[in-house]
Formats: sequence, structure tokens, C-alpha cells
Amino acid sequence: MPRKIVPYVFLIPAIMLIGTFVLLPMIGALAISFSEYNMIQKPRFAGFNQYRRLFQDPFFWNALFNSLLYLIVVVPVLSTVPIFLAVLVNQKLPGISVFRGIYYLPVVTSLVVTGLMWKWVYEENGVLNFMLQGVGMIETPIAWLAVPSVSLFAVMAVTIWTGMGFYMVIYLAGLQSIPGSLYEVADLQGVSKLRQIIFITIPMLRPYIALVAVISSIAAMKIFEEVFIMTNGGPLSQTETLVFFVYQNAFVEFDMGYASAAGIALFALTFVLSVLNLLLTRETTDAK
Amino acid sequence: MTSISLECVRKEYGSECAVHETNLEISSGEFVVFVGPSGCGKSTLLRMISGLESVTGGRILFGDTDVTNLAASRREVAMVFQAYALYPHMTARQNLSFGLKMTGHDTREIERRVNRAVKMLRLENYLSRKPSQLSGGQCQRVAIGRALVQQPKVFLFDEPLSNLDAELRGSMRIEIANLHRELNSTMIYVTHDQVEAMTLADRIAVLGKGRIEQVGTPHDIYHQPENIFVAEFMGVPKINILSGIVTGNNGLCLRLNSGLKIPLGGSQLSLSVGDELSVGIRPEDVSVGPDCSMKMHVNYVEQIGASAHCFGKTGDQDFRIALHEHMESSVGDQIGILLNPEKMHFFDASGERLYR
Repeated sequence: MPRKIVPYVFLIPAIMLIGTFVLLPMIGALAISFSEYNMIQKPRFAGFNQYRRLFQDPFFWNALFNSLLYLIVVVPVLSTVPIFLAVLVNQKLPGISVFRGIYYLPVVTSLVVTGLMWKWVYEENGVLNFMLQGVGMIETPIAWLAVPSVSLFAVMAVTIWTGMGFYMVIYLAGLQSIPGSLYEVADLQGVSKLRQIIFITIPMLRPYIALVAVISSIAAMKIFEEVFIMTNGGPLSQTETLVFFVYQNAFVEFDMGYASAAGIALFALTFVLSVLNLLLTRETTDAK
Repeated sequence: MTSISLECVRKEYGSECAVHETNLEISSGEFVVFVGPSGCGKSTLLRMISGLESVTGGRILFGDTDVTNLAASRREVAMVFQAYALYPHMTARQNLSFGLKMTGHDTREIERRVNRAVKMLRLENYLSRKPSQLSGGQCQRVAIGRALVQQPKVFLFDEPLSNLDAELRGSMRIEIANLHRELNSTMIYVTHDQVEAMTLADRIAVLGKGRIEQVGTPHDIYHQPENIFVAEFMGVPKINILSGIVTGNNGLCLRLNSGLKIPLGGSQLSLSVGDELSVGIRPEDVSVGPDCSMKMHVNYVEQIGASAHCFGKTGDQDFRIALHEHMESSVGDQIGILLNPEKMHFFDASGERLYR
């Protein structure tokens, strides 16, 4: 076999897998987005009708708005708070690895389990209301997942709670790559611990912060499980995100053409974020 | 500038003793070098003085002030690290001024100190560069500059030249020596490189297995080692140590295991026949001549320019000699050698020096 072909032969299994489960469905979705298809009858070509429908659909704009709101709230929190968590668990204290394990636990817990658990926490007779009433912060229980103005934020809190451990581990890896001697010099210079975090730790973590911001942005655009388990898009579509909108149209309404068009719109958004990811990663690698 | 006293300073990690009870007086403005093999505790001792490492027992005094439990930030010491420890996201100038800015120094004062350090270390052309854009030598000069601007009472150097190539090490050594002459500050320098120790130090403390084996001037350390450890550690190639029993036909002799006898001459030592004795003689102190009765079989020759180091055996004993440029030798030669008792160092059975 010619030497030039050998690497491609080794790539065949991966290309087949990705091709079957990623590329073909993508091309299929693109094709279906230009048609009307209800999974029973044959697809019928519809040109740009589905896209036209999409841009005129207030529910699509609502879902897009919710996804972007998710992005705006969740990403900054997930990009910053885990830094302090990582600094905390990076201390050389007895039993610190237990804390690291506990913080990471939500990451390895099934989202279905997490969603159900938080649903109970948010119940009117749930733990959260019990605690808030206990400390006197509220008088009557709040139906966290049923009040339109609060429900999306309640779901966001779960996403944050779940992702915190994962991003903490990324930052922990970043922290452990910072030489201890930098802090020793700062100690000898009389620089306070807080200033060490602000002027040494955070700048040194910049490539990691960029990475976390991009990963968490993409993750925020793909939010589905929490919504599906906890609110099913309600109340009044207030927690309906883009992926949930796609799911709803595809597998509840069986409007595959319309769902595919929404899926392509979501893809375009995620693609922009991925390109951003690529550019930022390249930039930080060059800087190193 | 301050004097430093270590009083019974000790460091233990669990059941492991890294530094045994250590006493040392360092005068104000003195340049003391801690030298010793890897793991001998020299860096630990330095870090205890800096405050980066706590002490298990004993006291550390700066002048009359007990600083044993004082935080590193309040000891007014500055340290230069082996791996430079420059902040990679800051330029050279920012690295120099960072500590002063963080501790609220006046901008003009910062400028004055930084400019002085820049001038002393000739850093003018590198100020806007980040550490990744600087060579190892330039990085270390910035690191020294950063220590300089702190105007500390004590400068601490933890193997600062170990990451540099031989040529740069030589030039940086001269810069550090000049710096000490200019500042006249108290400096403690840790190294495992005996050339650095010998060339820089006012006094050297040789450490081995967590203990100070000897403290003295470079001359004393080299010419009057207090024990075999110090004698063997200082000097390249290593000193020849010949161990045997004192015998006494026609004057005292040292009889080696191989049966070879080495005359001890009128060594004025209080030795008795039957005593265990070790004799040390530096390779450059061995005389060479065709008529000498003692022979060395050459196994390896190291040409180092002005001289050559020959490694071989006399009887079953490893032996090293240093030959001058004009004396040639090659592998397989038999060289006649003479050991001059005047040049010998004598050590008792426990390895301690016997004085004449």
C-alpha cells in the first residue's frame, strides 16, 4: 500500500462514525429545512418558506431571546465564580481533595437526576422555600418554576450549579500550572493575598478564562435537559430555549422541516461561537 | 544591610530531618555561600532565612531582632530564584516596579529605584519586553533588578545561575560580585557549583546531609578542609583519599590495603603505629616524574586546555592527578608519582582533620 494512503486508511473508522452520526444528519437537516416533512408523508420542497416562517414566528424569537439571556447570565457567572472556587480548593489543606470531589459531583451526576432533584428543591413545599422562610426572607412560598419572571433564572441556577465543578477543574489545572515561586516572590515583596489573585492569578489564567467563556457559551446555547425535566418550556414559554424549540417542533409537532430550519439557525449561532473559540485558542497558544 | 544569626535552627518534615541544629553568624555586608550536594538542606536553610519556610526549632535573628516567626513580607529580604520567577504577563519594567507599586510606594520613588537598577544591570534595551522575549541571562538580570529595587536588608540567591550556559554563568558571576562590591549588602547565595562558591564568597558554608560541615574563607575550605566530606566536595578533580594503617619502619608510613606504603615524613602529627589514618592529597599537589617509585596506571585523560586531568589507579586505589600543559599523557601510560607529605591532609578514622 502506498505510504501516502496509510494515514487515510487509519482515519476511515473515525470518518465513518462522524460521517454517519454528525455530517449526514447535518446535511439531511439542511435538506429537510427546505421542505415540508411530517415523518409520515414524503418531504415536499418548500424553498425558503420554513426560514420565512421562522423569522415571523414570535415563539422562535422568544426562544432565541431566552437562549441569549441564558448566555448573558450564565457565561459570566461560570467564567468567574469557579476561579475563586478553584483558588479555594487549590489550598494545601487536609482533606481538600474531598471538597474537590464534592464540587465535581454535579458534573458526573445525570442531568435527569439533577433536574428532578432541583424540581423538588423548587417545589412550593420544597427545601428552598423552607429555608428562605426559616431565615425570614420570604413570608409565603414561591413557586419558583411556575412564576414566569423567575422560572428561567431558576433553571439558570441549576445550569450554573451543574457546570461549576467542571469549570473549577479547568481553572484548577490552570492554577497548578502557575509556578509557586511567583507567589513566593510576591510574598517577599509584601503583596497581599487578594492582590496576588487579582494581579498574578487572574492574568495568568487568561487563556483558561477565554476557553471557559467559549465552552460555556456553546453549552448555554445548547441548553435542553434542564428545561425538559423541570419546566417543559413553561410557564408561558418563558423557559423555552432554542434547542427546546427545535425539539418541540420536531418531536411534538412533527414539523420536521420547520424544526430543521430552526436547527440550522441554531447551528449558525453555535458556529460563530466555535470560530470565536478557535480564534481565541490560537491567540492564546501564539501568546505562549 | 544587617547581620544574621542562626541559633540552633532546625527543620523537620514529619520524621525526616532536613536541617539539623545549625548555628551560624553572618556579618553585616558579608557574602556567604551555602554549598553542598543536592538534598543537603542548603535551599531549605535559605528559605527559612527568607521566611518562606517555617522553622521547627531554634531562632533566626536579623541584627538584634528575632524574625523567626515574622512573615516573609516583613523581613525585608529579596530573593532571586533559579527559574527567575518573573511574572510572564508583565514587561521587564512592570516586573521591576510591581512589588513597589503593590506596597504603595510613591511613583517618583519607584521610578528612581527602577532607573537605578536598570542602569546598574544595563537593562535599558529590554524594559518593554516580556520574559518570553528575553534570554535566560537577561531574565536573571531582571530578576536581580527586581530584588535590587526592593532595597532589602538581605539578598538571597537560590542557585540563580544554574539555568544558564557556562559562558553566561561566568559573566553573571562577575556581575553579582560587582553588585556586592557596589551595594555592600548582606548576601546569601546557594549553589552546588563550587566554582561559584569559591569565586563569590567572603565565607563558604559547606553543607552535607542537613549539617554545616565547615564554615570558612574559600582559601581555608580548600586548603584546610575539616573533614573528608569537605575535602572531597571542594576541588575538581576530587581530592585523592588514601586510607590505611600507620606503620613504623624507618619513620612513619601509611600502609594501604594493597600493601603499598606511603611515607608520612616528619608530619608532626601525634600518630601511633596501628592507628587508622586517611591521607588526602589534591591532584595538583601530586608530583610527577619518571624516577618516582609509586606508579599510576592511566585509564582516562581529560584535556581541559591549560592542563589535563589523568584518572587511573595506583595498586587497587583510584587516583587522580592534574598535569600541566607541557606534560603529556595518554591512556595506558604508567606515570611515576610522588606524594609530598607537606601537601598532605590527614584525617582520623572518623574522617575528621588531624592538625599538625
